[in-house]
Amino acid sequence: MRKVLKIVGIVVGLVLAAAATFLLLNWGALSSFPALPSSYEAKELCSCLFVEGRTQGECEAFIRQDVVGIDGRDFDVDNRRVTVRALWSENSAHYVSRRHGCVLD
Amino acid sequence: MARTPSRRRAPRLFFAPRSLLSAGRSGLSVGLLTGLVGLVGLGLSSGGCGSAAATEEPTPVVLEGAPSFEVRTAREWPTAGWPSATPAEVGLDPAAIATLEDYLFARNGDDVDRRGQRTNAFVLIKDGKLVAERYARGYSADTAMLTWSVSKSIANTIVGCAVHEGLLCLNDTIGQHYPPAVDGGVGSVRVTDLLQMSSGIDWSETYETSPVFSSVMGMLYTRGRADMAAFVASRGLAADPGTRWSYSSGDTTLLMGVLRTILGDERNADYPWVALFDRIGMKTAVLERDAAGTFVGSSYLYASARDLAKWGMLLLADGVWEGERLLPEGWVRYTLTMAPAYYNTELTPGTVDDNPGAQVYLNHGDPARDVPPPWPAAPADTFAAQGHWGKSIFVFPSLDMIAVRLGDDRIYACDIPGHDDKCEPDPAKAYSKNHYLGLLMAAVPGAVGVGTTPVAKGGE
Repeated sequence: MRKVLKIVGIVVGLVLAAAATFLLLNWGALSSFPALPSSYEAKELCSCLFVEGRTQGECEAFIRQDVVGIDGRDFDVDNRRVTVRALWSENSAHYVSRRHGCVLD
Repeated sequence: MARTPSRRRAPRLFFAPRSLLSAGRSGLSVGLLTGLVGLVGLGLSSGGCGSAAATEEPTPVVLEGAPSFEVRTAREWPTAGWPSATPAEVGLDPAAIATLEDYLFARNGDDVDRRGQRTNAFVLIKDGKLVAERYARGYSADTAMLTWSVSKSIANTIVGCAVHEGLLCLNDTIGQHYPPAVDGGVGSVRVTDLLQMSSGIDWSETYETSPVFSSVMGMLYTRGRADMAAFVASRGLAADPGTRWSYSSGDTTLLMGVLRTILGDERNADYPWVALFDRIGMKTAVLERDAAGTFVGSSYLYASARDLAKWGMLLLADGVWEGERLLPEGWVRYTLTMAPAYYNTELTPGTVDDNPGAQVYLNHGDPARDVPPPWPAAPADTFAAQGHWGKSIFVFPSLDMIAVRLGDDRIYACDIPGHDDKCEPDPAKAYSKNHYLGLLMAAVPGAVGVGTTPVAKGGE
């Protein structure tokens, strides 16, 4: 029994060590991921609205994805800015100029 | 399975732009794709753009010669607007054009299921005249439209203008111009390596298939967005420069960063307009930048379909517009030459149909490896700018014809490699590049496709 426990302990230890190594090696990519859905939507909605000149409904249909839930979208038309919240992350994009379109804040 | 370039793999594992930008891509899997290759660089030897100051080994590129097709220079230039004609007046079959438009604008789905064709714009130029044009889904002739990776081909042309002005040379290394890449392997990457997507820079061009580890998603939206070029340069090398072709938005964007460094912020901000857009009348052009001021280049060009066709016209004229040379002699020929490293690159279902020139796609195939040309219905000299979700500028030099089609297709026809899980089996009911090209060629009496019986060959 003791031997079995020891083996299980070693296996669990190895798995934890592998997981920790994976996390460490990929921390940059993993930690930045939650910002992706909101920044993607903010930038593409901004350009859709203020560069392509589409309606809010058309832009929301364009951007729609059915995987990650979106907690909120703010359309500040006066300042030509779009803010999106998802996965505990908030990102905004704003319109710069006729030539340069939109950029993420 | 027939072949059709462009996006493959359609898994909708994630939300986003499955390939916001590309057309070809390496799609491959995540970061571990590195390794492999290390073969011999073929070097494109032809003339040269001045200084070959770079390193010893790579064969310097020489810019010289006209393209292999008949250069079209004597015509009414469309700078202020396209002259128009009826299809019959330029020898096209009006009934076949009508059939083509019926196909492009048939809707077999709605905006919820996103099935079927979702064509936003179609413009056809023949003999320098606008002969067919149609819009849908709320778009019009004046709308600046998203082009995703079509942007890359126009980025090539902007760089060509800078080379013509003597601001940089194809054989220059990045390290010569771009301080963040002075040290380390990335500094030895040449301008031509970036243009031919053969930089060897460690890169994962995946979209929703692997969003967490995607270099391009990281560049555009998270880790790299503040300074995209610096993010690319920080990736390091996965292969020796010039030895491996791998679809990379990073290569294009890094080149835009190099250009910004050379020009300085103030001049850079207007350079694409001064050097190109204003010259050829691309009045609708919008080119977005990152937070640091670098043009993204690999994506985010917005322009009307009519204006995008002017880019095709410039290349048909070998870079000379209204009698003025905007691109160096030899630039168009170079752009339409296969990237040498492609011949060393492992073929996959995704890459077998990508015949890369310098930020454009060609119709050459790879005879040595029994790979037929990707667009059998189209002439051998056909080339294209391609972007995700069905966006393209096809140019047919021997026919003096340019076709712009901008779509927002989310479900392609099944004859696109890799699109086998959620595709539309009937090519008449969804966007299929070869179906489109076949119908287009049917409108041109005497047009000869490079091969009408594509061999089923490819990745698997």
